[in-house]
Amino acid sequence: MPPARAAPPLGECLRLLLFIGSVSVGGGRAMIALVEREMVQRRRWLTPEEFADTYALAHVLPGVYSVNMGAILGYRWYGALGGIATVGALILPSFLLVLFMAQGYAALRDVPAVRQVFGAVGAAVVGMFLAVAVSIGRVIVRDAAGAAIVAAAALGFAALRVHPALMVVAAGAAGYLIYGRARR
Amino acid sequence: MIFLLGILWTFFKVGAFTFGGGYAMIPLIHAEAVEKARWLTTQEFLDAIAVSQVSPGPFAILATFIGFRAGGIPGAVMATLGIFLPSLVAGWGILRLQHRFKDNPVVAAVWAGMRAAVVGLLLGAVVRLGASSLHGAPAFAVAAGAFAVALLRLPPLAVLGAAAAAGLVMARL
Repeated sequence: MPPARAAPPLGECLRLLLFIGSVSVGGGRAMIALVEREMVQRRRWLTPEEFADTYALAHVLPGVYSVNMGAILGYRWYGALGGIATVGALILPSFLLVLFMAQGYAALRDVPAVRQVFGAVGAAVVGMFLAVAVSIGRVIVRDAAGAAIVAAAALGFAALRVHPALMVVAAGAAGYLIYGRARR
Repeated sequence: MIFLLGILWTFFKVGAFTFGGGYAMIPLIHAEAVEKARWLTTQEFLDAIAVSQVSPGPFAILATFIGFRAGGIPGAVMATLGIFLPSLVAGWGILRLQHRFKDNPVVAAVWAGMRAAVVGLLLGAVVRLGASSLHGAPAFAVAAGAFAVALLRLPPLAVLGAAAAAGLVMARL
């Protein structure tokens, strides 16, 4: 893992995570797309490599990967209490909203406009995820072996439905065989 | 109190055995909350899924809804703590370990492989998510527009807002 740089200001980070937690309709993928857009592309708090490392790690740890990413970044930047704060900021908006919706959810479900809006947002998340893959991949994939791992992981996940955690572990082993030996 | 701790423990178990996305939790939560504890019916469980899908934030917020049905606000707090506690514990453990392996060349090689897999996983997710949510030309247009706008580094909220507006317009047509 590349060396961590200076942590972004805690207040600004918490504000951003509260914001992402409030607007990330579309679940964990929307959250991650927003984290990458805001923290890697716009604010440069993370390099694409650091983002990818955190994403990989979040998949092999127990827990939901989007929240794992928040925990990993919070701990790394601000220590134990900071990790708890970042996770809290990430889930607080949806916690409050779900509590609110738990009362009147039945009314929401069958409104066609609601379904259309969420359908469109879901489609936008697909596009945003592709943008994340392109901008991260542009930096990370530097040789044929890397491209082969990308292809294998994409195929394994999309067509064969291999579990992402297994894929990350297998790719780690492939990385060891390809890069670890060449270097010695 | 024992009842509330039961909610905490149930969702902690679910969180600890989940790797990857929140949707993987659905069968586990169904078994624990509907079949075993009978906190809600299967129909209510489907409603809980629908609410969690339209809510921003992680899908695992499903736990909050079910905790609320089981034990009101205290139940919701316990369920939410339980489902996200494994992330906090695991993330903390990893922080302790990381310093030790920072400059190890073998670890660096392993990371290089895993990083490439992340790009593949992102692309794979685009295919899987696209197959389930891109129906018809308008949806493809929205996805393509979001892709282009996101690459231009415009604020993501503008992307999501424009998509929501497009959805509203389509609903009117």
